[in-house]
Amino acid sequence: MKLIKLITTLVLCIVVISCSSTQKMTISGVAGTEIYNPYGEKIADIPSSGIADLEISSDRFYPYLLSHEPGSADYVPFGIDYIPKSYNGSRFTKNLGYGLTTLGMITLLSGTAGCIIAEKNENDDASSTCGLVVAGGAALMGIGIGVGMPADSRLSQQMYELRIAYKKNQQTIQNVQFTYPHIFSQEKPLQQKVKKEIKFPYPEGNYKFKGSEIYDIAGNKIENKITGTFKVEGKTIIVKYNDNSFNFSIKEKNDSPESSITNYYSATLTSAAGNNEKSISLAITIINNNIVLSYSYEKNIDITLTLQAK
Amino acid sequence: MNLSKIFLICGAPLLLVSCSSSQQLETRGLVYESIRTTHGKADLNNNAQDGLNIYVTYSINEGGGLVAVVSNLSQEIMIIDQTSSFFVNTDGKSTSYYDPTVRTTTVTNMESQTVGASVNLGAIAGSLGIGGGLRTGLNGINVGGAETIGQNISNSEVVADMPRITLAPRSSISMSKVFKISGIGHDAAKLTNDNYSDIPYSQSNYRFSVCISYSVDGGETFEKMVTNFYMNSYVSCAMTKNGQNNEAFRRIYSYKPDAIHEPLHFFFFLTNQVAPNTSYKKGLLYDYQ
Repeated sequence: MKLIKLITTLVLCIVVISCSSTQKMTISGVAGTEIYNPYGEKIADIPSSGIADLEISSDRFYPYLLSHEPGSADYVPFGIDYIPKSYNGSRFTKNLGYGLTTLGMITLLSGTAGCIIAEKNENDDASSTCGLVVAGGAALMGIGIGVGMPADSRLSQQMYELRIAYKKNQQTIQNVQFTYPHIFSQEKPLQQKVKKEIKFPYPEGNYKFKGSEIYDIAGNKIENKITGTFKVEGKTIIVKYNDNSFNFSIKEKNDSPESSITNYYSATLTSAAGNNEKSISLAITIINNNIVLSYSYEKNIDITLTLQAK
Repeated sequence: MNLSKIFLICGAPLLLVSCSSSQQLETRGLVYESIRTTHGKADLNNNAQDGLNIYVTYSINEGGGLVAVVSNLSQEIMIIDQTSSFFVNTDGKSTSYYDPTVRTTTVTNMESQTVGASVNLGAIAGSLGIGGGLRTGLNGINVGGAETIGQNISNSEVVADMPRITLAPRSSISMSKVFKISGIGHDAAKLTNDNYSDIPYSQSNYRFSVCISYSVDGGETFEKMVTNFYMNSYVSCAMTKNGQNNEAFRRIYSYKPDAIHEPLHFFFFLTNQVAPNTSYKKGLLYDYQ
């Protein structure tokens, strides 16, 4: 009887311990700091004492957490230290439980078989004895399941599977003066492109484009769209940008007239200006039977356009 | 045989069995990587979009997969020519965005995720002042896995592998492919003595680029936007003792004090087995024209 009481007490203790599936730690840091897990969930605040008590489910392994000071935009990852832990106690408990279950099952089956035989032989003493055996086997099974299953459940949690435990005392990283890369002073310039359409024909001559306006060589403002008849063949357009020249040759291809008119012309960009050609793009399109030269360039630069017949 | 003997006989083997175990986690080191574009930070607020046509948000996941989300900032219908849009890997190999063997997939709500990439389209749309509702992550855009639950968005969002994709004015679309960047990501991270920080584009061994060809005049003319990327920092730190994660972070911060402010950066834990949360990613990269 004493043995049964002892076993029952032990089993209850094991079951209670088995249900505990969190790991405790403290996190030291600046008071007011918020602590987030890798999923972005806030899990703690550092109190005025500078030490937060934290319980983390054993089913989640966090090699790092993030600290955030109110008023700051930074979420600073800091490492969570761990130590190896075998959890052999839990493994023993699981195996003990399932061992008891097996033992109980065998006892139960044996007792049941004995009862059947005793019933057949009409042996009352044997029947009562095997009844006790059956009851004992069932009890043993129940105890075994009660012990084994919680332990098994715990062992399937991440911290148990990885065989580690968090260290009791953790610390944020808040004594580092984080700087900003120089990249923050290197914003990409707004290459806001100004698109122009120049409809042919152009009278031969020189035109200066300033911003989105067109000027002639004398500095007089003129319209930026000119229409009329124009012979494309053999024309070369010279665009001057910051004293560098780009020659755009427009030539008629030998395609059949029935094919798409946009295929008749091609634009080639030859540059005498090294890398500056990146600043200008050119396209020849046909809109409403007009040949349209479209080009774009960065905002706020001056371009001089010169049309020359070859 | 009494009960105590039975327990003794059963208990001994059980105790021995309990000593067998799965492999114990060992963390060998921590690796930091940061990726930049050649043109700087280049994220915009709503007030700086005048005259811009295209805004592309690039996300690189922990596995080194790159996904591009194109936003049409113009009032015109945008056409993206996938046959003339490319990804150029770190080994110089160019791959077209158009692959006729890929099936078309239509995505209609925010719960969708591009394969393996964590991009919060809603957050991107929200940051640009276009589209509908959003739920932002920890840093306003994206932390860890972007989770977008239960919010439909009015953007036209079709992930399709067609030669040309049309995009409504003021809307966003995810390009149809996730490209694996060679040499970048958790799988490629390793301990080395060759740490570097903030190196220029010309010195980086990991350079890659994306070219997107688009039109905002109904396909009459196509502009191309080329974005060049490179790994500008790589810091690896071996653990002095298994599980000393905090010290590893401190050493990396000591080597690179601006680590957490790089536009796109990663921390990778090098472990002897697969374990959760062993990658940390923050940030996105942008380009516009």
